[in-house]
Amino acid sequence: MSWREAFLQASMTSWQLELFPTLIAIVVGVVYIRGFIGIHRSQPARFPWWRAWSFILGIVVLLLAIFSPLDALGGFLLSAHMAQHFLLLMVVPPLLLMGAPANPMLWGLPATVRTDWLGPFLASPAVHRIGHVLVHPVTGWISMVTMTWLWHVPVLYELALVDPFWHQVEHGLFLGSAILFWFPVIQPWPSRSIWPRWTMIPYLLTADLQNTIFSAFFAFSPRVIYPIYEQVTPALGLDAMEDQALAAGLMWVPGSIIFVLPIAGVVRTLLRRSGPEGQRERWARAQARTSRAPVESIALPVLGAESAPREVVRTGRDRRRFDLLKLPLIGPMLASRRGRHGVRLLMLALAVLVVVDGFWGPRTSSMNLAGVLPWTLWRGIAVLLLLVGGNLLCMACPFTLPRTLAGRFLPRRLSFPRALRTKWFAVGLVVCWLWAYEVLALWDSPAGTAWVVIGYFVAAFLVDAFFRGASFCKYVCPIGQFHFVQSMVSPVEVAPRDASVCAECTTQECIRGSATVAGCGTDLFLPRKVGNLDCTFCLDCADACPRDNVGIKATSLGSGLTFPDWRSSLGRLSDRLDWSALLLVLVFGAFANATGMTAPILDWQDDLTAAWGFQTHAMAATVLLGFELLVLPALVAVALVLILPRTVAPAPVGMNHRGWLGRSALALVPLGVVMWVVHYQFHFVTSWAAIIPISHRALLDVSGGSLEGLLGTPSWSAACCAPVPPWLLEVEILLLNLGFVMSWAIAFAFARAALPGARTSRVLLGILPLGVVQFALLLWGIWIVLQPMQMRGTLLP
Amino acid sequence: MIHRGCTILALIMLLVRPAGADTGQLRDVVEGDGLRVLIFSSPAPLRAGEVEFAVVATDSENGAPLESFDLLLRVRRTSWDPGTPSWVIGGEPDPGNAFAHKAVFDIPEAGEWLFLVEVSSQGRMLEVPVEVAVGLPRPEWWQLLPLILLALPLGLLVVIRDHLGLRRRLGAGAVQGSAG
Repeated sequence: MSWREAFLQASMTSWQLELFPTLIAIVVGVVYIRGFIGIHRSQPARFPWWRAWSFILGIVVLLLAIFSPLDALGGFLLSAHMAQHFLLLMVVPPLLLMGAPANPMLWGLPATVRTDWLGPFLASPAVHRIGHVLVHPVTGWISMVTMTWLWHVPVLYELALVDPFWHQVEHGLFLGSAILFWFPVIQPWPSRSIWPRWTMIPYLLTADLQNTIFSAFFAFSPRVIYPIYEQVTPALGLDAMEDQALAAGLMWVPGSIIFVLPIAGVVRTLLRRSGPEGQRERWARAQARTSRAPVESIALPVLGAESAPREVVRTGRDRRRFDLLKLPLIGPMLASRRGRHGVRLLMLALAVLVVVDGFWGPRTSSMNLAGVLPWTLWRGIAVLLLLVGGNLLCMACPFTLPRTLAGRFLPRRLSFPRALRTKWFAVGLVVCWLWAYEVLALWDSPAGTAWVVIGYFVAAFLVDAFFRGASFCKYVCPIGQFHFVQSMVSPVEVAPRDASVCAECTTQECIRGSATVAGCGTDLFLPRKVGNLDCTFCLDCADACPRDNVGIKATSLGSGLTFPDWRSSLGRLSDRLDWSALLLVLVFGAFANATGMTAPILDWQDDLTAAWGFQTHAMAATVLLGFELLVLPALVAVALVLILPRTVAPAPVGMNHRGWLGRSALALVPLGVVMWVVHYQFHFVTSWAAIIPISHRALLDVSGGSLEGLLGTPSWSAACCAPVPPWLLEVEILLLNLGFVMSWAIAFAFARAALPGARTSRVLLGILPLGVVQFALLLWGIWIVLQPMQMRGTLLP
Repeated sequence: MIHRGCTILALIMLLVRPAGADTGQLRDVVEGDGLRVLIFSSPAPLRAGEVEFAVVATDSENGAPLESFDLLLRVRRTSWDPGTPSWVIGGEPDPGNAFAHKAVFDIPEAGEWLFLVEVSSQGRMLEVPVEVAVGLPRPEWWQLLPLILLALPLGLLVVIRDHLGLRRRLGAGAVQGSAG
């Protein structure tokens, strides 16, 4: 194969599918189609299916323009680069705009995002004014022509050619300015034309004229305009001048056709309007105008709505709210008692494997199921499931099986001791859990992990053998507390399908139980339940409800965090010191746990251990963890409780120190959640493949080596150390930022509720101390992900 | 009670096994010449810069860990030719793990690298080739600054959204007031 052939082959196969743009394109496409389907049903004439196809085609062409071999060839051939520009300027924008994307995009978004987040911006007169200026024909014409000429000045063109960042800027500006240019031509619904329709004829003709001059400049230039192509194009056996002429022709002929084609459409519209059919249309439009609201209010009715005040008792039935139990396949399985038991039995089998391999398998945790199943796979999957599916992990928990067993054979008449019916015991256990993980190196000890699993089963059985309900889950289980808190940011919760059914219900089986099924073990009364706290998703309430009125329903993101008032079984969360302590320990625990695996901290522990003359890290780790987990949160809590009442003044009636602490703790939860996600996903992404040789090894062990002839030996090297995707670090930082924004929004909402009607600047200054703490946590998280990570692997006795 | 708690804590501190044995991510397990060698690397993922290779050697017959053995690391690019440099690094006992030896090497650039891990003990010798894909150095924090500080404009949007909502509420209140 010659060099030229090899080059062409390499170029033609160089698809550079980048994560972020692809993800954005997919999300935009999904949101558009979701909204389009709804609008198409109500307005099929205005939104025929060809609009959706046009929009999707626009996205596909956009991805082709920036990721296909055209991009790679553009560095060597001016004609290829011009073809790319042609797609971005002349093809993609009209296709996107013909999809009339404004309304489908808005209606495709979740209602909360549409009304609570975008609503205030889109309803703002300032935004309207800016929008009016942007879609003005003068803006569109000038911006596209300017961008076209500016970026083809040799200095800027070659800058974009050699620097990927400027190349992306160039493409972004091309696309943006071309959308503005084509906007008055396509005039996507519900926008109205600023200039009379006939003005589009000179608009397009003048644009075509400048395109002709631009192309002619390239076609008739006596020299190669971009010197860089003089170096690289001949290497492909092509002449740079010929390539330049080809590029000019590409811009000239197809470009002119695309400018002129819409003129035919405009002329046709004008002719139709002047005929009798047009007169009828105008009359009908005038009639409609007198009988209905302005176009904007039809197009964007929801934007005017203020977010309704949340009520504890839900009212009415919302069929549009997503219900996980209504999903095909998954829904019936989760709704079925046997299906849920099946999942628990599967988890029980995995737990047994962990125990068996933990005791009798290799002592190296990287080679043991007890080292990888719980600490790498389970945690990685758990945090994602908690984020998207609520507390499904507790639903699948094998430790609830002892409760079922105890309920069947033992009386279980005792109430859990009143003194222990708080979260303080659980807080202590969470602290012990994090300490043991760090200091006793549980991740590193298969036998230790096996003992933990056995201890869990024994504890669950003992507690639930004597005490009523789900006492172990509610008051004891540290993993359960972790799940409760992490699932606070989940967009789904166990909730009534129709609140009016609950309002008429007098038997209340969901909490009292029925003849065959127990009611809620954690004493949550469904109509007054808020968020996922203390909800194990066991769905006993669904089984007990005779009206099939319980679902796993979509809820506003973070709604469980912005509701500091009374909740069923929990009381007023912001008055519960135990809950505040639990939230703070889990938030700071996320950062402490991740800090413990960074190289600088481990080096520091080495130095401290050597300086103190100890043999092990235990003391250094304990000191560090004690500071991060207990001292630091306590200091932060005291500082906030002292400062906030002074800055957010006058404080609302009845607000005390506990109230400030509770609200502050709630406003830190999203940051803690994303830190856990970032940490556990890092382990998952870097080490998930380890399960392959470990399972292989376990199979060989179980068979006594008899399967070795069939299976061969475990390939440790093949499974190890999958290349970490280059985008992982960026995703981690982005997630931390999103956690910060959510935390900040919750803090701001609390401050606004405390100071209703106060100036925004006053609210901002009032809540600034909490914002500083949140920003400090964000920086702490970013520092962690920027450090080299030690992957602690083995420990031999 | 407190005294008893402190005593238990002190006992745990003294009796606890060495924690934080940072031998790294398991790369390979190889047997030969009566030796069983476990090779770890750290940090994860491997990037250009300082990396650590740790080795734990056991007797393949009885599984007993060898406390004393020699570790030698020969490093070169995978696309090796006589003009390309190669390095030889001696190992030393790992202070974090009594049974591990480690060798630290500063990888000069990203790419495919070959680490020949040589373990010898009492006349037995095992050489294990480990091919490693080394990534680009971790970017400096200031290179990620736009992404790091994304929180600030996003946080500002939260404030503006609240401000717009307040204005609309106040405006609606004024209209209602005048109507009433």
